[in-house]
Amino acid sequence: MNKKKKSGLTPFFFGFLTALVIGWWIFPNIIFSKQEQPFNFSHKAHVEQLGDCSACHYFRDDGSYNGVPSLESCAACHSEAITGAPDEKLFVEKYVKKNREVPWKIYQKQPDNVYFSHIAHKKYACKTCHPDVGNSDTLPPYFENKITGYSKYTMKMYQCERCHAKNNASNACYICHK
Amino acid sequence: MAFHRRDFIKFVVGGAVGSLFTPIPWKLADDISIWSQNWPWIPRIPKGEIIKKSSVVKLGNTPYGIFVNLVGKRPCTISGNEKHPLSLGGIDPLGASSCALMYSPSRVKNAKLKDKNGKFRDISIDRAKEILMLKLKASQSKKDSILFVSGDDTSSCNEIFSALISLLGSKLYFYEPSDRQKYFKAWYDLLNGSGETGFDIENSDLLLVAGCNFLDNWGTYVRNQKLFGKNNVKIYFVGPYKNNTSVVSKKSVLISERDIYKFLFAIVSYLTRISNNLSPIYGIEDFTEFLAYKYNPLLVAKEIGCSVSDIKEIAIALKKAKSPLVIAGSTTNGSGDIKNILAALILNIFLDRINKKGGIRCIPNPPQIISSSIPHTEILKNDLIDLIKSKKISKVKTAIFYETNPFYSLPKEIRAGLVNIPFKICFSPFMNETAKQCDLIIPSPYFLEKLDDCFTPFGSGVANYSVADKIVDSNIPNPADLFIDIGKKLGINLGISSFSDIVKTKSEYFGVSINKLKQGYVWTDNTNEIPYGLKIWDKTLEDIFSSDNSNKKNGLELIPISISKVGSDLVGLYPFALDVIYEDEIGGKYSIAYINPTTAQNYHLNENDLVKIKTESGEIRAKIKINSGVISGAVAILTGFGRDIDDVFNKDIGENVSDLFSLKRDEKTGSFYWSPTNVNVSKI
Repeated sequence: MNKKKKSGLTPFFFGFLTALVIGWWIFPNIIFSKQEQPFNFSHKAHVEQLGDCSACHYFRDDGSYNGVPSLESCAACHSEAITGAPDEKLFVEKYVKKNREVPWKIYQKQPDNVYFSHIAHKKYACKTCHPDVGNSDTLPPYFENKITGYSKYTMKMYQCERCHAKNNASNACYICHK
Repeated sequence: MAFHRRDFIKFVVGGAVGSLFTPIPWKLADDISIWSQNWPWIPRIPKGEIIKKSSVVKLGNTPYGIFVNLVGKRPCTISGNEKHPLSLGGIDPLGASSCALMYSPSRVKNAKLKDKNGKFRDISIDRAKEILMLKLKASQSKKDSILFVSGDDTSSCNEIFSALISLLGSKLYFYEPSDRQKYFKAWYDLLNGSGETGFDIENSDLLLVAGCNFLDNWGTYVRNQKLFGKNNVKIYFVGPYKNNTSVVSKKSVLISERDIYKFLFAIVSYLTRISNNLSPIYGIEDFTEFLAYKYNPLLVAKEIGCSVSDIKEIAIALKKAKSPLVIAGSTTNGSGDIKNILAALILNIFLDRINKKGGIRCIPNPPQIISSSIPHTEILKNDLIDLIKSKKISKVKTAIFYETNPFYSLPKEIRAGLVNIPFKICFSPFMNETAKQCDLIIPSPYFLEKLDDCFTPFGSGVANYSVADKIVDSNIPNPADLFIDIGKKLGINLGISSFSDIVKTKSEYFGVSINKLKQGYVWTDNTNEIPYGLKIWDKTLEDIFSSDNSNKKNGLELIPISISKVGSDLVGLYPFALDVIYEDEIGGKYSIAYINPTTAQNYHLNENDLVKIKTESGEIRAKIKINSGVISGAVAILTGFGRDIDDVFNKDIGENVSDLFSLKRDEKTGSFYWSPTNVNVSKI
């Protein structure tokens, strides 16, 4: 009678390795979906025209941050297509003429339970937390988490905490969760 | 090597252990928790610029100015406007709910037409406009075949509506019956006064409040509360139950609503005895003679069940005060006998309080921009109940109700007269009782969704004019603009192109820029009209006060308690009502009926007993609560419940007290009233 050859721990290690490959290489790629912005926007061209970031991204009188400029702000210059660029034409036809806000995909959108105050962080340069898009003619790629709906680049709590700790700012719950 | 079952299990276990060394379980747990925060039904915090815009809220029984706080373009909260003379920074619970109410499930969003089975189906606004136009056109050949009832007696839209129906041959334009009308009739018709009565509470040091809930539901009650808090004015109260006004009064005298005018005249009678110089006003000698004969304080006190010392104390307080003011009103708006209001005005005349600081002001009437419109004073004179009781109602083929709810608040007899009108049209932002009775419902924009104006609401101290701009985008057209449009199609030129046109013209008339008004500025004017022909007494008044309506029948006297926190006829109960209405004010599907211990003993009733309360008009069921703040022989019930509005705040809460009201007519004045009504109470 032939004895069955025992495979030992080989299947276990094989399963272990497979999990590592899936977990570290495959899973991060499938959890996020790449999505396109409504149209391309050249920060570089606008910085050349308007100066620095604060021409479009500024603090309001009440201290709140305007974030992404509204349709009204962009339409102040682009009520008609002025450069002839295809993306600009699309913006005018699809959004300005129809009075529709552009549904930009926000790279750093935080959930409702997080209170982030830009004015409390104004002594830091924008590129401390945001990619330096001022020199770019294209928008960074946008990856959205298929489960949460948030951007891949949304800052996580540990990232905020780390910087707070480094700069002697409080990490008490109520600082960010009102 | 074959792959056996055990190998497979080892592989799976290996995979499970290996996954612990990868981000998978930790990331999945984190992502699932975030996913659960973003379910589509979870409300989102609005983000954007915080903007404050001025508005005038007209949801309750009095309009007043507020600020609306918007985040982005979304109205989120309300804050007080301290500079607005009608609110002085105050907000009532209904006003506080006004941002939320914009999203009420009972909002009318589409026009609706009733089919033969009595069910509503949605139709387009254009189709609704067509039907309205056809009805108006048909009325051209028949005089007085259109009836219009307006629920807003302050807006310029009344000029547009009344102008069109007047040019179409109908003068049947009415406001809903109210104390304002009673005041106007008493002041203008019976006392020969001028303008409309204004109440200079700001400068008064003593108020005698007779019957009404001055601090909670009378006139400009939001302003009244603020002034009471600010000036600490002394209040004396006379009425049938202890309300929010009486509890802060220096003295409360509890007597039946039907006896209030007797009490007031007893005060005058006492004052004539202790005063040396009487004001030389027309009729004063006959008046004092009449008082001595009919309203001797001792006899009145005995008849109405109060003490002479109460009459004397209040009379002396009025005499000593520098700027006293007497305010009378019904327990629920429009329900009471005009005699109480008349007696209060006469007392004010006697005390020489007309056009004096802290007294009654003769406020000029609003300007008339459209010449063909029915003037505001003429509309005030028109008595809707008189029409319904007369044969003229049978000629009416079409009724239009604008932001009013007579099918909830008025006695059944009036509702029965209106329900028989062949075609009824309702403009309403909410699907309330009147909307449901109509054949065609046209949505009216919510107050935040339209331009509107407000001229001198009842209870104001001076003439005032405010404008509320459109704050929220809406595709619901302004009914006034609809009427202008229909007028053009029927070949009728009203002389203005739009509602905003008339508001702009009015602002120019007052010498203020429309933009300034839209930003919250309120035009006010201290000018008073001079009542040259004012009298205190004559034969007509003697006839009125010689007759006695207080025929005390069997049963208990019904006191309908009207307070602002139960919402309004137009809106019903609202989200914030949960915080302000107490547990013992709601009896589930029953109303709550308050009786005092003596009444309870006489009727063998105990706390929480279930009773049937019945009149010839109808019946309701209620739970008894013992409350010593109610006069003996009476039962007090909160109004504002028993709504037929399809949302969770209103459904199956209490019963409608208006179902009990019995309509009566004072033969001498011709004025109708329904409070107090006598009811029968029996245990279920």
